Amino acid sequence: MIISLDMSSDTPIYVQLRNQIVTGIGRGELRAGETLPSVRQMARDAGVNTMTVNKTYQILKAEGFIEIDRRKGATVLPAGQAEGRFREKLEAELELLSAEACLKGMEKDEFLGICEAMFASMHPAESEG
Amino acid sequence: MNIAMFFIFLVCNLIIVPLCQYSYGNLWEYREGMVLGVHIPATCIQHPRVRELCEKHRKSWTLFHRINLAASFLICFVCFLDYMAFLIVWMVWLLEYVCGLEYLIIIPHRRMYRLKLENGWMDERSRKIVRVDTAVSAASSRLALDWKWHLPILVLTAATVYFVDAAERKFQVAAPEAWPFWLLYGTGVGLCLLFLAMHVGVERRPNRVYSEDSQINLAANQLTKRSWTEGLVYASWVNGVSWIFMAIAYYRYGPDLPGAVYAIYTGLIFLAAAALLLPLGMSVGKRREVLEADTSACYIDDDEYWKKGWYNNPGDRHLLVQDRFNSMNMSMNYGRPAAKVITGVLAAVILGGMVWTAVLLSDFVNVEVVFTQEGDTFTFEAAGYDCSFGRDEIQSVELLDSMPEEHFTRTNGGSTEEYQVGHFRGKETGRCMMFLYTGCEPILEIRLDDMTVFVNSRQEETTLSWYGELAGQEAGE
Repeated sequence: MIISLDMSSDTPIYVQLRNQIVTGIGRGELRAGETLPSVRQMARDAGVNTMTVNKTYQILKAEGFIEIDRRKGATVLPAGQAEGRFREKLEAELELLSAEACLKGMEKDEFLGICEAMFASMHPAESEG
Repeated sequence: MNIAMFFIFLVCNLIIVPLCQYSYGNLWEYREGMVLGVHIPATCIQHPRVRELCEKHRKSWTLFHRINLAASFLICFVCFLDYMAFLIVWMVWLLEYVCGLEYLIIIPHRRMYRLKLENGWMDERSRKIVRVDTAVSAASSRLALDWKWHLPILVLTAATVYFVDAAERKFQVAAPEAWPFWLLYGTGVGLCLLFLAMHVGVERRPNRVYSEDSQINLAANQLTKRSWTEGLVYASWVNGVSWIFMAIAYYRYGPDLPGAVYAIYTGLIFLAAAALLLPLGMSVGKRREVLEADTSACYIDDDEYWKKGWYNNPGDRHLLVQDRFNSMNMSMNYGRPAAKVITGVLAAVILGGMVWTAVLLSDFVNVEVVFTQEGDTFTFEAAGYDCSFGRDEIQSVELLDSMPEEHFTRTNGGSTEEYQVGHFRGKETGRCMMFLYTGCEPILEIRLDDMTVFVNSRQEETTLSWYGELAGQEAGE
């Protein structure tokens, strides 16, 4: 997958990187079992500090999207069951988004339509092996 | 000597000009979303001002190279008249060529960038955007040859120190004759190290994203990295082999090497240059084919950092980036202070080298053999070479009508149709020094404990007076 980092954005680079990798896994652009670039290589290609990439990988690992092996490096994990903690986080974020949509005058059907279309575009790909 | 010099410079010139023309050429064509090194939308290529700029650049580029190709050929004939004058003319020509080349690349680029700003052909979305293709980055270690391929030849080349040292002892080579071989040894090992360092640099170079298609990105990055690293490995091996061959010949024949050895060594050095450049040249065409077949090209509009004609991006951590105008080349990021320091040091070294060479060669412009005597010590001096010996070192002094009938090889010095100065070796005489004007007689042959000195002056009387002083001292013993 192609990751695009906006160096002039207010969103920190490690957050942009995390979000794009998660979206890539969700859309199936990154398959389960696929190896991610090493921290050093990703940092070199993006022109950022290795600490930034390392932070992203640690967050992704903690969230259960990737696993990190000393020999194989970082690999994408298959889609798993939503944990209770994730559900809480999702609800909190959705609550904020719903409030913003409501305050901007968006109808419930329109909001749910967007959610549905977004969810439909997600096709996590299983490992080829 | 003049003929050898003529052909060496002729071949070099005839390689330099077409190589630069080919590698920098065709900037007026729309490639990788750019024309004259500036990103513009494909729809703007037919804009009258763009077409005018491109056409003007194409004409001046072609004319400039035709003129310089002819000039580079013609100036080689100057070496038959006067080789010092030739070297000066050649350096001036090279300076003119390099400056002209930079002017013809940078100025049209700046004009095109200004035109882009005037017309607002900016892709704001892609400014300050960095793209990474995870498939390419993950496969990065497989894109280039392993740097360890350099190690065997580096170790073998460095190990020839044994041959150089052993040859010195075997042939009792004195320091003035030995240092050119140590210099060649240093150059051989130094080049292998340089190629290794460049290899590591290429391996670590960031991968570029050309397309939304990872296969295209993989192919383009692999072609670039593979060709560079293959070229560097081949060049390192051929360079190492050339020096090993020279070191073995030195060990076998001593400093009086047959001409064929120098010819083979020079041939191998040219082969090393070709081994570096050929894979690079071949990869350019292949990469172009790959990129032109791409239907989902995506380009980052980072022209802001190239607006002066060189890369200046303080926000980019990379010191070396792919050159905007020549994909075979790398450019420094002048937004980083280290790049300015490196450029300053390199410029100082090149300038220092040129001044040093000029000073060294200026000694040969008006060669004057100077004889001095201080107490029991006699000194002959000419063109930066000198020979001092004490009275007790003289074994015999003779006046000769001509040089002995044997072949002398110059090991360290200067030799033209007018004079022969420096260190030589004769088949019979062995190690000797010469301070000779060609065609002037008589010649003074001074046999010392460890070598022979041949000297003469333009005036017969001067030579005779030197003979008187030296022979008198000898008789006085």
